[in-house]
Amino acid sequence: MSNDTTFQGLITALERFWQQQGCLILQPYDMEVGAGTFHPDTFLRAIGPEPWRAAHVQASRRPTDGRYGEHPNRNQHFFQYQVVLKPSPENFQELYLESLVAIGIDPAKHDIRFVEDNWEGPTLGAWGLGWEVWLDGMEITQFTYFQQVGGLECKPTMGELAYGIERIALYLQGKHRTQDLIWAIGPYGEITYGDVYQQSEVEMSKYNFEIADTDMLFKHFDQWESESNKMIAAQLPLPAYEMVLKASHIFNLLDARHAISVTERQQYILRVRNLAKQVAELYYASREALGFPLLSRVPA
Amino acid sequence: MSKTQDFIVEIGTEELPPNDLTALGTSFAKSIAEQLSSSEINHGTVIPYVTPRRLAVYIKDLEDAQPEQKIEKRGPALSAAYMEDGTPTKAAEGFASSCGVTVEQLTTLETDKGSWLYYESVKPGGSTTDLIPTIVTNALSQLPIKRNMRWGTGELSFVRPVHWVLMLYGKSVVNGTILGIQADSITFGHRVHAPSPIKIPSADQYAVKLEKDGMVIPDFAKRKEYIRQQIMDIADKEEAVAIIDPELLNTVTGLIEHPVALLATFDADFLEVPKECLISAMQDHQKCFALLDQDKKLLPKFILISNLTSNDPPTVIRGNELVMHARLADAAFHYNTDLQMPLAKRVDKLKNIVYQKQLGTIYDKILRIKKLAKHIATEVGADENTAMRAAELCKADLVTNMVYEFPELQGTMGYYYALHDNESQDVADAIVEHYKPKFAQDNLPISSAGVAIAIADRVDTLVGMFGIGKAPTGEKDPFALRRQALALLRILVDKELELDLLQLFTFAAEQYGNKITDPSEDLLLFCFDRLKAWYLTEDVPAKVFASVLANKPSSPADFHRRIIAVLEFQNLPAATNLAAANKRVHNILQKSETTQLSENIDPGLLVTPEEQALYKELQQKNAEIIPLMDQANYSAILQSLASLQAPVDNFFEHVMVNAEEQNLRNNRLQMLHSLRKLFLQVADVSLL
Repeated sequence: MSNDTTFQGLITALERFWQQQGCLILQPYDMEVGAGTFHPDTFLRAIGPEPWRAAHVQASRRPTDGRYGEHPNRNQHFFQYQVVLKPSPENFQELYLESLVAIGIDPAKHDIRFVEDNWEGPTLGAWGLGWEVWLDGMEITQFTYFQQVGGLECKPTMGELAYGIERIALYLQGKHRTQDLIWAIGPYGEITYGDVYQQSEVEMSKYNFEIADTDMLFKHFDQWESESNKMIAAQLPLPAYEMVLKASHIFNLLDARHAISVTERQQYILRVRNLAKQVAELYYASREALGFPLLSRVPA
Repeated sequence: MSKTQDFIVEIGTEELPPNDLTALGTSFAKSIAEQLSSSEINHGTVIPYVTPRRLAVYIKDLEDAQPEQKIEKRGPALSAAYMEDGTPTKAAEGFASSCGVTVEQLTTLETDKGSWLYYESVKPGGSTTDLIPTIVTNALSQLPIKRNMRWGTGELSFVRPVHWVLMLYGKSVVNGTILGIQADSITFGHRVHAPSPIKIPSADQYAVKLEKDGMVIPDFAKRKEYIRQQIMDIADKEEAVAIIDPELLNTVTGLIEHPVALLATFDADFLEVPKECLISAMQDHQKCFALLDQDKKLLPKFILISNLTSNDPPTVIRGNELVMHARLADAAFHYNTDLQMPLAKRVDKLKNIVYQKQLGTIYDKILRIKKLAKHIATEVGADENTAMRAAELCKADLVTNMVYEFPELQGTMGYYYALHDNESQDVADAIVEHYKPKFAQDNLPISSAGVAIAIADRVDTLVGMFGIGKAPTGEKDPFALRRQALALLRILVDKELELDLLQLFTFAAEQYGNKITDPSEDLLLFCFDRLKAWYLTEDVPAKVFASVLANKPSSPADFHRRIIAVLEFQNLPAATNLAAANKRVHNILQKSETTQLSENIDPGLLVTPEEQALYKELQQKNAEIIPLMDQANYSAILQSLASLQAPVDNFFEHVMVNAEEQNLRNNRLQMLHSLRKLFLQVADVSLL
């Protein structure tokens, strides 16, 4: 059990635990994404028959959730700890509960519940069934069995855990505000989450809600969409996917600016989904052409 | 004689969807029972057990085998079975082989009508334990699962991943593989309190053992009552009243195997926010129960149901309080943000919300509701300006944060925000009431402006949806139009409002312009259907309804008065004879070739005293009911017409309608026609 309840201590403990479960410890994706699910090592690896086990932190950006750094636990930029296991193991729930023990949460003390919450990613043409996990009433993890990604059936099924690490840290540290979380204790004493991100939350909220140039964003959306289509035509699923991510983030920004009416909104979602579907199919075909290389690593 | 033993099957799963639990359990039990009876295997009580992690069915006194089956088949006649030399014919051989034997093994059936080849055997009944795995598998495949899922390698699919199967007949494991898992006698209890496997020694021990050793209450109803009792005990101690929403209680029971209720508190400052918002936040988000004091004021306390006997309950309480604080802070934030913009200013934002693709935005709907409200305001006794103002604002809360967060607060928030904006109490009341009645047992709107908008909104919805061909079909009613229509009818009948549906629908259709085709006629028939269903639930006989429907009265209030009149008429001693007489008259008139019947009866052609008496009586009644008709006093009319019984009976006893002389005949037919018309003004009593 970990005694280090700092934010970085929590990440280290999760990293260590999932490494022991045979996960690749990957790095965050270097583009704006709304959730760990958008990381190509989740979205694309969920496709096709190849096995995959990975874990990593993912910074997530949700412009509409910005509160100028004033809300106790809502930020436009936050972190998830993302774990994917494919095929999902028989003892997936038990592993997850063990990971809680590893970060200092004792199931004999805390009320831990699996509360039905089925996940749907409309822009990714993806859905899964599972739960939000409650720790004494607080949602700390999204637990999902992917059923469909980019419109393709998931068989074998990828299991995904998305830990809300700020919330877990709030609980472990007994704090009320994300900005008050202790990130680390070092030579300059306690460095808080706010020390690292408060200024960014204020400025980014201002940009997202008030300043972002919507004409430019509309233009960029069209351009990235068209670029993604070109990459699809060139049979390059990975670049095509990056452009889907760009378009998706721009859509989120436009949403935060209330620049898209309710009726148009659905149209934009469909445009992104349409790209994501084509990318998914192309990615599948490209892995198939390679003979699904990771499949040969599965012990007979 | 077969023997019986108890049977249990349990499917151990990951956490099932809480709101589907009872439906899954009931279906599982029902399907197994049905298959057992179609296999002719008798049994006692069938009990489903459901918790978040198991679906189980317990069957008492299950017979160990099907009954023997006696098989008898009659083949060709003996004369056709053998040739002259005694060798079997093709027909005989064919019959024998269809029975799986040779001709020599067949017997003969002798009757007084002749003799036949005959096959007779006894098929032993299948053993229950052999049949059960298939029965269980079938039952599982028929469960009402909203969304199936795959897991792991993806070979199997079920509601949630399956981890164990327990199947016992008496003390023995039933050999079989269910959803890829070999059945055994092992179950698992609560994850924390009973982590080791638990062996169930015999089927009848299942529930007891699971409760005692597994720390889990497998019976849904028992668990639910246990939760309710714990909530009430805490509330009593606090001298408070807990709000136990039945749906919430079901959800919580579906989420928890080992319920432990705990009392927690929240910051009293939040009580400045309307209590409905706080209650919604507690119920929807945190699945907790709110507490009221004796004056029905919200207390800064709540009850949470945990799934654990924690070794440190204050930690569980503190954690829940932390989350509740954030939730209530959100609600307060939404409330205060919403107050920044008056409702009247929000109306314009409704232009961005599509009501229905073909029917336009909510804003368009508002414009139509306003016109309708104005049109009916006077007739429902509402102040026109109040009704129009309330109509203008009634949907504005749809674009508030609070309603976005808690859709069930639509109307309620409009009420609070209207008062905050210094709208009149009448306008605020109308806004919250116009959604009523929301369900069958719900109250009706009370304020007259609320009534006006409730009617206008529903008429607009019904006309619009029917006008673009979205009428409900069969089971499908995605826009809940049946409920909307019933709500409309209930308001009109209960409030005794003299509104004519046909006129109302036509007026509403005009407001849509060319967006729709006027559906008024179809919609009226649809409303009659709803009325019929409603009256049936109120124990009004179908024939009474039919008698009134004959006139198609398109004002529901008027329809209702006629129903009451006919119900009263039915209780009169004269009713039976008069109904029969009306039927007779109806038949006579139908058969008669005279098409041009008028009420012009020629008194000079009345020859018998009985027809003269009836004529006099008819004249008198005709005069008598004119004022009653003006008052729509149908009860009085039917009561008055009841005295026609004697003259009518006398008439039929002594007068021959189909007289030889055509002029006499026509005159008599005309009189019957006139009699029938008298009744028909109220209802077709011949249908009683």
